[in-house]
Amino acid sequence: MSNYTVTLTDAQKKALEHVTVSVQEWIENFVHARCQIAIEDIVNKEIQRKLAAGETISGTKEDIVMAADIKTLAEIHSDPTPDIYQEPNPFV
Amino acid sequence: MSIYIGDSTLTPTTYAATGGSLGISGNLTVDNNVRIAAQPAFNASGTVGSWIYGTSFGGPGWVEINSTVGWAVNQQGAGSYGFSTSTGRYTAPVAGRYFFHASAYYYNDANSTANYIHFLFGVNGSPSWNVGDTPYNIYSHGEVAGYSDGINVSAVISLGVGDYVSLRPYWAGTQGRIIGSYTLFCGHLIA
Repeated sequence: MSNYTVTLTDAQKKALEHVTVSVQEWIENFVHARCQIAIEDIVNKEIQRKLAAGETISGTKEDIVMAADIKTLAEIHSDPTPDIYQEPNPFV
Repeated sequence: MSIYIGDSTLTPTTYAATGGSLGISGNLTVDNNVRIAAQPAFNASGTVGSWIYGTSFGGPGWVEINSTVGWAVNQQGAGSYGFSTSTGRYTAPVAGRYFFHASAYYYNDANSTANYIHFLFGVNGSPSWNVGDTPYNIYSHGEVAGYSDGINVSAVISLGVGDYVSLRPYWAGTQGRIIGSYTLFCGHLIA
């Protein structure tokens, strides 16, 4: 588990409270929704890679993400070696 | 033959606008179909093929139709957000006005006015999204026990990026129920 802190100015807080019942819940939804899209994307790519490689697919989506050999975006930007999911895809 | 408009290039089949965005200062008339492959749109259905009481969502009261119904979805243009099957929420990928529609298959077990439902959308957890007001409807109040007629709701809602819309009915009483797999939630960006 990881915790992140977001600091809002009084004006930002007042503005956000005008459009949502719960600022905490809105922020959590914003982040969690983005996380889920990323999880779905990684899982789909990993399933395609495993199918192409003749590997078995098992575990939950969270298990697949945790086991995937993927780089952070910061690593991708700093490393000239292509990520396995970057074009050209060697598994297609 | 390519035709150049400012810094952009028009080929016989493709117009590649500089910066990836084409602006039109007047009306646009198209004689045939328009297909927008990445226009945000979704249709979601519950998958649980059995009765689910309001208490299973945390009712009575304002409750969100969450993953209890086992959401499944087809969608396009979700970008970084879109519909989440984990939460039942549609999070806007781009700012604009969206059209939403939902329907449900509702049964009231009791012959009393204690069981009814306001079948509404919630925006960022609030039912009062319609110019500050709550666009109430009411179903099954005072009806004899049985199926409630035509639970449907539609809306045009203005959203910013990250704002979310969900099915968030007010569930009165404990003897109302829906079938998860008969639940529809859909929507698309208008403009």
